[in-house]
Amino acid sequence: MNEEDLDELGPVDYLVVEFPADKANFSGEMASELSALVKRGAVRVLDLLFLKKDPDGSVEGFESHEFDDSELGELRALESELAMLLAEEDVEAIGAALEPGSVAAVLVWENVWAAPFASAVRRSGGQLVTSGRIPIQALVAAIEADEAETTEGV
Amino acid sequence: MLARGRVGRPGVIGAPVARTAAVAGTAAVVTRGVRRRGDRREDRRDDRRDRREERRFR
Repeated sequence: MNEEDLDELGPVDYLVVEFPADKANFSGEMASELSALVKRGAVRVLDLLFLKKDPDGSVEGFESHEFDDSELGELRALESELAMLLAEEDVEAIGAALEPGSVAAVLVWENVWAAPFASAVRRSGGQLVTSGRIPIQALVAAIEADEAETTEGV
Repeated sequence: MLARGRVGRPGVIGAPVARTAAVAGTAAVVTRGVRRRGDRREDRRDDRRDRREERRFR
């Protein structure tokens, strides 16, 4: 990664999705949607890990290469680009949040779509003050307040 | 089994990891609500444009 690449690095996010052990299906639709985002240049997958939390609370991590093609589908194609950012410490922290008897996928990605805009902001002399995600509960509250106001106004 | 490269270095996520509170059945409600707000804003913008044009042709 050269200096220009670093200047073009978009914000990096992660998510953890959990499934009851008997309902896990990491192939198919999820893989295909993620793959489409990568192909469109919207995101770059930086890491992908699978965790299993036993009913006794012990957590085990699995790399994507431990699964066969039929289980991972299109995700297999992304494997070569993985930057392996997550550490054992992350696995422990995520594992503590999982329900016993569940399996989970952990995905780390770069928002490639945001990189050119972020570069333009920096070149224009701007600097990031803060960023974040608005919780869904706050959106619901805003919509409900809006609807209450509309109803009162009728 | 985790790759050897993941062991013995600091994590990037930070602990503790807090679970996101589940909000049942909200996806459609929020989507509709946010779009409705957008539509109303668009209506107000159209109204302002109409009023400006009315003033111009008066």
